[in-house]
Amino acid sequence: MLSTGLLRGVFVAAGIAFAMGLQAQAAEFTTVTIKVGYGAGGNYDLTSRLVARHLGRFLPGNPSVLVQNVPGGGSLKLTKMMLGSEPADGSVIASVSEAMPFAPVLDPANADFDPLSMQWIGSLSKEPSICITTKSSGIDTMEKFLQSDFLLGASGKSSLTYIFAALVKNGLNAKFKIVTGFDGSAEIMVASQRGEVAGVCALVYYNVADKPGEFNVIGRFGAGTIPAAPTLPQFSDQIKDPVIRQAAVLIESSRDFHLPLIVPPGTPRETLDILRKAYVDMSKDPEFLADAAKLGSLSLDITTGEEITKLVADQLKADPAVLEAARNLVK
Amino acid sequence: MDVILTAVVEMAQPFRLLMLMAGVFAGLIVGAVPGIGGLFGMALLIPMTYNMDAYAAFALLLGMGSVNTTSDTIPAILFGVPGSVGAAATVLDGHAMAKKGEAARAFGASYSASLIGGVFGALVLAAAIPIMRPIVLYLKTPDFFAICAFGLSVVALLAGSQPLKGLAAAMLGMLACFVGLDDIAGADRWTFGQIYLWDGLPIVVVFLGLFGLPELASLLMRGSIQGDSEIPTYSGMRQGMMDTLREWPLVLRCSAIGSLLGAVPGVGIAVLDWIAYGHAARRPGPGPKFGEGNVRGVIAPESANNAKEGGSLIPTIAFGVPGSASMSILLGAFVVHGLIPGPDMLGKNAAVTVSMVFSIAVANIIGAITCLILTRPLARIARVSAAVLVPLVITFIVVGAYQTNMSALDFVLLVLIGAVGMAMKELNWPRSAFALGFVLGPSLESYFFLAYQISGWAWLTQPLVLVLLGLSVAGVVRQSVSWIKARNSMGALPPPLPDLVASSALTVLAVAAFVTAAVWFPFEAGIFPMITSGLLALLSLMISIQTALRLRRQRQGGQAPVANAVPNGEWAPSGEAAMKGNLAIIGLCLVLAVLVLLIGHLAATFVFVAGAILALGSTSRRSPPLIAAVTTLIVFAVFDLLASQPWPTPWLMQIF
Repeated sequence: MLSTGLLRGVFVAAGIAFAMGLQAQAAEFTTVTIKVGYGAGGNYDLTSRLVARHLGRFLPGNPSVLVQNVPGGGSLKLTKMMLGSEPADGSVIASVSEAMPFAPVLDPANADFDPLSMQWIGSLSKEPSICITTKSSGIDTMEKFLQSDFLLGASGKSSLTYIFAALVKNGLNAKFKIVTGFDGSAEIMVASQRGEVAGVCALVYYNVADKPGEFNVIGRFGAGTIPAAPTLPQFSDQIKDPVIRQAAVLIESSRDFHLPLIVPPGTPRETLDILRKAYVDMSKDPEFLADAAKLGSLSLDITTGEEITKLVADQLKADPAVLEAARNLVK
Repeated sequence: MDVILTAVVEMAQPFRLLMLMAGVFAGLIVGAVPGIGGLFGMALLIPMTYNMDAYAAFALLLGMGSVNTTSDTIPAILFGVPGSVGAAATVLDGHAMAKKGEAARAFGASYSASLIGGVFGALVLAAAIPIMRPIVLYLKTPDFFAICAFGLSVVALLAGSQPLKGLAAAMLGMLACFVGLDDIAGADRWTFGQIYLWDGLPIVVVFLGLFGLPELASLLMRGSIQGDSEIPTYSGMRQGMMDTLREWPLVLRCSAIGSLLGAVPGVGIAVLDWIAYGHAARRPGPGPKFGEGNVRGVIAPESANNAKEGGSLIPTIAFGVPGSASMSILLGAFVVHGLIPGPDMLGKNAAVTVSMVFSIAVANIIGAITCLILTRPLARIARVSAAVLVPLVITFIVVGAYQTNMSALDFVLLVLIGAVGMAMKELNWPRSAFALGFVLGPSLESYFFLAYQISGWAWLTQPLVLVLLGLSVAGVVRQSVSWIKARNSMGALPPPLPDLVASSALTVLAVAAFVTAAVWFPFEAGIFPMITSGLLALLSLMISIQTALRLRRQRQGGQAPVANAVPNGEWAPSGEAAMKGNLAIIGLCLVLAVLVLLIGHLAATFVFVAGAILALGSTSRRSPPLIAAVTTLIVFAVFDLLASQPWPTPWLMQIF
């Protein structure tokens, strides 16, 4: 009887030890997690999974890199988590919207954090973003776009589809109305093909590159150029008032570091430097480049973490009147 | 014809067939484990497809996506725990059948219905290929709203023997879905400062709590899933398959519902299986009432949810608009493989499109046959002691709920919703109506505002909108007439005192919700919650008054509750013992939750399963530590190897 009891006791102890061991192994193994502020399948998710497949090779110890989706509030939820509760030892990296450093300016009620505390690893693209309309809408020039009465589709009010459309509407006194509540830009594109809305803003050129017969490209946000449409006008150039124009430039400057990665504020300097270096090394790696080319939608052009930090700080140093104007632009 | 031949030849390559099989088996596992659904499986498999060709990639992904609605019935029928959100409707009659010793019949019926539904969906996709674009362009936003409104009118059919409660439950479900950041005005609604709630109540946790935990409580009280000790046989399975064949018109109608609604963005499996269930409930046919083990209640949702895969591919292929959440991930695979949704998919890439049809059809056939082969051992589980089963199932529910957000709030929400589900089950508030309100609320709200912003009120005169809204109203009116006719027939009713407490509490909650929505929320964000909570307040007040009168009658006249009446439909109270069972389940969940937080999900599983089996007094011959060790390994295999994800560091580990 005693021996059965003893045997059972040993078995239980061994079981617990084994299970704890499994867990311990998982924790000790230096794993890096990229958390994505959006659901699976979108651009942020796909590019994070692209980085996850390669970044480990350029980090000491060649850790495996996992991806986890933490969607919510257009990545505002994840940004707040990164600035609050996530471990600052390089084990957690986040892919959040490039609009986040300006969120405290544009939406102070919800984004109550210090944007200068965000630690940038780097970003993948600088491609400008564009506004498009359907051919059937008849709105094919900048002038018609600003003067006509029509509907533009957008997702939620915190999404770039809304922010960029509002920037044009308020900054240039355009007459169009913005319809909010669509599920994403793909759904808006179809609604425009159904004739329910005339167009959408905040796309990249790739979205319409294969459909020249269906859509007009009206203008761009961001300083970069699009090789296929080098003469495309920039919306902020059209704004006459210098304060409002500076506010518009502030908002669209996020296009200079599209698809960025961040780490929590307390991350040690050496860890951040290692991550930044690995990111830059990765971006020159032929294997990575070949893999990135498969994504199609991504026009790779990285901005380093140092550059982003400077860019964000410069923009946020702007006059309070400019910040005020920026807030009003996206209302 | 050439295209079909090309596709078949391409698919016949061994590697591609192997990928299809791999997808099917992964999909069966993902479906059978509560908490992780097809969406999650899709996200996991996507990176593995990057180095494959398009045929192999879509064989793997669609193989996975097509069959998790086949195997998610296993826990639904056996334990009343939906394996994925699409199996919630199957719980009602499927689990009731298992309790009566008809688990094998329920399996036979559900798998064969899944098979036919899945193949039907693939055929719908094939038939739609040449005409996809016009169809998708024909349906406009107001039509989507009308389809959702029609779906909500199905609540009338799910309302059960106390229709006011059914309607109130639906309103409560809708109210619950409004929690979170709203899309239209960007206001936060009832998030109480919790970032956790920004994206709303996670549907996986809600369904596990609402359906899973209450059923476990009654399983614990009953001792085993099936009361008697009759050995389940293959004959039950054959009978179930014959049931499906006999009900072929229902199977085809529900497959049509599944594949067509699957094509509507915003109407996912969580919605369409209830609509199919409600459709079947209109004509219960011979046999027990709906909710008491009617085989039609299994066949309908199962054929619909497998048919959806084909349907939801239609807008994905034609436009790149995902017809469901997992399709939005599939869309990522399109991009990776250089496929552009649209005319090309019918032109130069037509063979890939046809291969998708082929993959869905074959996956459904393989999936259903695999499940049928597994029926006998699975049906035997119906006789295993609850002292062994309950800890196992709780483990999968709790760990499954935890991995949705990896937050301690997952546990809190699970237990809270579980308690609500238990009260609803005891007091005859139909959980099905709650579920339908919860899943349809967001689409109803967003489509309404889109339609309104696009065309004011003019959309109300569009022909399809008129037809659908007319049908909804007619259905509700017809059902109301039958309620009024039946109102004097005395059926069984739950005890009045707890019922009065519940309905009064709900009235207070509804009024509070109404006031806060009116005061705090901007108009656009507040109007739907206000309408919903207003209706809920009205309905629950009426129920309170009704119940109070009943309580007074009972007290004054000394009149005993109707003695002979038997609870009917979905209502299945456990009576006196219920409180004990419910508390035991909640207690077990809390113990496991604390263990998971303290020592991590693996060690917690081992300690919990071994401890709980001993504590519940199992007389099983197998040693509890052995069962615990096997369970731990399964949890490790599913949640760490198959679904490799970063688990938070357990609290005890943080100390060292």
